[in-house]
Amino acid sequence: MNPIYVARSSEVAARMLGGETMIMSARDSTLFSLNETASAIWQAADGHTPLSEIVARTVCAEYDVETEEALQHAEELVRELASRGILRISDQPFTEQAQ
Amino acid sequence: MDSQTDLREAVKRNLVADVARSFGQVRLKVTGTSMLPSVWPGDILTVSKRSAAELLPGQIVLCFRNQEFVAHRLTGKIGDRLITRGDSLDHDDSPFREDEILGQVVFVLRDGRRIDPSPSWWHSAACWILRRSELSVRLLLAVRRLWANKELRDPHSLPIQTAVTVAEQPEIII
Repeated sequence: MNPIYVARSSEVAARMLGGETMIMSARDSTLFSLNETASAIWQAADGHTPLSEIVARTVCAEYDVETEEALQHAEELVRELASRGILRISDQPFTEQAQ
Repeated sequence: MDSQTDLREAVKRNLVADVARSFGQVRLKVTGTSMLPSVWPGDILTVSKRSAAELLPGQIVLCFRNQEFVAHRLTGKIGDRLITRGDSLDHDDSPFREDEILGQVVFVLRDGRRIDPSPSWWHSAACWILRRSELSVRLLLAVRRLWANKELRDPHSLPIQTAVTVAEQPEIII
């Protein structure tokens, strides 16, 4: 399977509240609220770390979950966030540094 | 409201201000009645960033002070301070400083229609009545509710999955 790279969109404003991340899209002012696990993935989405590595480091290291299952959920999550325009996904590392 | 809810609301308000300042445009859903008859509960305001010098009396401006939003009509300027007032209110707000201005309400979205918030003769007449009678405000809201055949103040949110919660535009009381 090809690696997936994820990068935070530059067209959002985000603030942390405890483990939760609240994100507002500048495109349509929609508000998103990410739970602790999703926040960890969001924070690590630097554009050049593969999603599998992010999941291993942030999810599998913290929770008792199979890597395969965690990665599947993470992929669903990042595709959902990408469809909402607040995250970008690619099968290649992003050339520019995520903000 | 508990302190966690208060904190979440404060974070949401700051995000709105962040987006308005950094990206120049933001959308908000209204829940208050101070701008009747121009702006109704449930309306969505589109706000574009403007400097105080660009704003003109008659325009609706969005201000952010002490963690609260005010979207009221600009009535004048005193030095570098802006004087605003809600259309259905009988008193001005405390003057706003330039750094408290987020922008101008450029249009209002109501039931999918784009509304120009500029004042008109009928608007001035309606304001005159609303400022003098709380009953007229209630009557207007009741008529609107009947006409629209729906509850105006219902917040709308759409949970997608446990990891992500998505809501429409954040709400402000004006």
